[in-house]
Amino acid sequence: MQTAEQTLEEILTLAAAHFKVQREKLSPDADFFKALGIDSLQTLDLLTRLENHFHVELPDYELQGVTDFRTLASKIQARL
Amino acid sequence: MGKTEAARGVRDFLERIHHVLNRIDAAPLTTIAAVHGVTFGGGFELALVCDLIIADKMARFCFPELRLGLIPGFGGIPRLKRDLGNAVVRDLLLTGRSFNATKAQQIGLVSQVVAEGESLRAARATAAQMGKFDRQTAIAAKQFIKPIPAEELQKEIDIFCELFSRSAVQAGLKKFVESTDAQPYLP
Repeated sequence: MQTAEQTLEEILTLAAAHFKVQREKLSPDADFFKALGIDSLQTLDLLTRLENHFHVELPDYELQGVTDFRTLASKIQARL
Repeated sequence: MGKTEAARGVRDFLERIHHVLNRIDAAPLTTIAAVHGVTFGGGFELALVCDLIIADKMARFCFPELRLGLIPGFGGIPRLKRDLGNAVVRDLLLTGRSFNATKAQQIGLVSQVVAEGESLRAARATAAQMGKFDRQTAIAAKQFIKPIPAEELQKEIDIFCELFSRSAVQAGLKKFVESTDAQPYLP
């Protein structure tokens, strides 16, 4: 099974590529809403892309209040 | 606009929507919903009246209404009950969660999942195949496999109107509309 750090790195790479942000500008503890400049529809887009990429199911309510990449990675890691 | 007038307006609106959706649901044609992206609330209800749902990988389904103090108003619950297992319906409605196309296919909601941006092409190919069938036979089959839950649909309108008149719902809807939160459908 992949490590939490690998999961985090994959999230950062995926988010940077899809939302056209330089990977180096995304830090693990950054607020991803601000860092990616995404709205509510784009948040759902990101959620779906992450589910498809990691082959996991992420109920919205488990992610409520999650704003940084590191915590997001831990939520995904818990379902791998 | 007074409360009584507003309530009448909501009921009239729902009855007109139900009339249209029921006609699509029972249409003598075979209908396909080609879905991409966020399919929440009314959009989900429109998809549910179609005979088949073909979704691309970025489709996402949700009924957030209960979180706003309402039930879906365009036939969502009766049609979900018609098409899916009750446990799945409860999960969807009582948590207000959203789920993706893969999950939707697993639970029997979506018949085909295709690559991003391919749902319309796949729907057209499917329609071309279905167009080869004898229409009368397809209509007869549809009457067996897709009955209109008329009684429950009428009940839904009554319950929706009753819930809609509560001041808590008005406040919840106002908050939802004005929200800038990234997940505004989650209270």
